[in-house]
Amino acid sequence: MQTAKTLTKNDVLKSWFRWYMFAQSNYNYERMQATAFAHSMLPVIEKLYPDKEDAKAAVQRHLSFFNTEPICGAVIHGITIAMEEEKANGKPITDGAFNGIKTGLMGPLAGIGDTLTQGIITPIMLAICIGITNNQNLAGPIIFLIAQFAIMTTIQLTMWMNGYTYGKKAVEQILEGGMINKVIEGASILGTLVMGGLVGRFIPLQTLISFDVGQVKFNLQTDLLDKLMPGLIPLALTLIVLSMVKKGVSPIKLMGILIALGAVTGILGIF
Amino acid sequence: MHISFLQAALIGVFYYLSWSPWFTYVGFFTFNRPLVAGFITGIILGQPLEGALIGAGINVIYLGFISAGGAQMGDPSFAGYVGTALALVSNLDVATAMAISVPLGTIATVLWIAKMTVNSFFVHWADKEVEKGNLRRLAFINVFPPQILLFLVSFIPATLVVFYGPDAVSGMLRVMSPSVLHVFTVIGAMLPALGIAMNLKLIGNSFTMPFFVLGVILSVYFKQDILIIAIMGVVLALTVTSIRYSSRKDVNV
Repeated sequence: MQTAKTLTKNDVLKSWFRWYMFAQSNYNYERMQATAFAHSMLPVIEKLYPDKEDAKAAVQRHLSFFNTEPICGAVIHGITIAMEEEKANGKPITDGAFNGIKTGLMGPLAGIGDTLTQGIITPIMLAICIGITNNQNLAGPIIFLIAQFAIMTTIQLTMWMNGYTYGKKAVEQILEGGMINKVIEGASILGTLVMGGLVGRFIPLQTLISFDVGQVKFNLQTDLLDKLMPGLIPLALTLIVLSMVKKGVSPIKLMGILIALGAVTGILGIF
Repeated sequence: MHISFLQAALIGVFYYLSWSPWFTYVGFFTFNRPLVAGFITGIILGQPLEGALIGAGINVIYLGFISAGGAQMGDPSFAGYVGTALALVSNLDVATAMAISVPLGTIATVLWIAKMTVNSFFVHWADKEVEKGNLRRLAFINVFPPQILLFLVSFIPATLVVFYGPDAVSGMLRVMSPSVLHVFTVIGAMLPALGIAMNLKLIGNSFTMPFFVLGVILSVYFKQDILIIAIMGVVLALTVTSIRYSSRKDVNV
C-alpha cells in the first residue's frame, strides 16, 4: 500500500484564492465557469496526482459545464477537493460521481447564493450607504467598500473550508436545516423595510393637480392624498411595477414604460 | 468643466477593472456598483462628494440588479462611471443624471453579451492544451485572453463616450427649456420604482410586504433616515423570526 496523500491547509487556501480572484474571469455562454473551476483545482490536482495522465484526467473532469453563485457555491469546491483527496488515496470515485455532486449542488446553491448576496446583503448595504452619502458624507461609499469585502470574503472562505472539512454533510446541513430559512426570512424582513425606506427619498412624486372649488383652491396632494396616506403615489407606483415584474414583463421593457410614463405625466403637468 | 483625455481614459480603466478579476470577485459587489463608481469618477474629476451623490442616485435604479446566469438588466457599472462623468462635466442634477444613465447602461449590455460569446472560444483552446498535457496553460487561458478581450470591449467605448459625450449632452441641454428638464426630473423620480420592485420580486412575499408599507411610512411620514430604518429593521427581523420559529417548534413538539 502506498503512503497516504494528504493536502495541507495551505493547498486548500491556494486553491480558494484562485477562485476568489478568477471565478468569473472567463465567464462564457458555452460552459459558464468551467475553466475557472478547473483553474482553481490545479494546485490540488498537481499535489495529489504526480502521474501526468492522472492529473490530466482530473483537470479534464473539471472542465465540464459549471455555473453557480461564486460566494455561497464555494462549498461545492470544498467538497470536490475532499473527494479528489479520497480518490487519490484509492477510493473508487468515478467521474460521474464528481459530476453528479457538482451539477446537483450548483443549482440550489446558486438560488440561495443569489438571494443572499445579490438580493439581500448588497441591497441592504447599498441602501444604508446611499443614505449616509445623501447626508453629504463621503463615508458612504467607503463603508460600503470595506463592509462588502469583509462580508463576502468571510462567507466564501467559510463555505469553502466547511465544504472541505465536512464534505457532503455540510451541504445537507445548509440545505435541510431550518437555519438558512430563518436567516433568509429575517433578512427579507429587514430588506423589505429598507426598500420601503428608500421610496420616500428617491421617488419624490407629488401630483400638481389642483381645482378651484368655488372660492377655495383644492390641492389634490396636500388636501386629499397626504391626509389619506403620505407616500401613496410612490407606493402605488412601486406596487404596480412589482406586479408587472411578477407577470414576467422584462426589466428593459419596464424601463421604457417608466420613461414614457414620466414624459407623458411630466408634460401634462400631473407631476 | 472640461474633461482631459487622461481623465477620460482613467475612468475607462476603472470601468474595465470593475468587471475584471483584479479586485477579486468581490469587485463585482463593490467597484461594479454605481455608488462606488460615482465616488471614483468624482475623485478622478476632482469632485468626490458630487460624484458620490450622483452615483448614489443612479444606484437606486439598479438596487434590484441581479445577474444570474448571464442574463441581466443593463450594466450598472457603465451607467455609474460614464453617467457620473457626463453629469459632472455638464453640471446635471441627480435626477437628470439618473435619466441619462439608464439608456447608457442598457446599451452597454451589448458589451457583456459580446464578451460572453467570444469567451466560449477560449474554453476550446483550454481543452486542446489540457489534451496535450499542458495543464498549467489552463491558468493562463482562464486569465489573460478573456481579460485582454474584456479590456478592449470595455475600456475603449467607456473612454470614448466620456471624452466625446459632454459635447453632445451640453448641446442637448442648450436646446432644452426648463419644462423639458422638469420632465427629466419626473422620469428620474419614477425609475427607482423599477429597482425597488426588482428587489421586492426576490424578497417580497405576503409575509414581508407589510414591512415594505411600514418602511414607506417611516420615510415619508416620519422622515426617518435610512440608517435608523435599517436599525429598526434589524430589531424587527430578530423579534419576528424568533417568535415564528419558537412557536413553530412548540407545534412540532
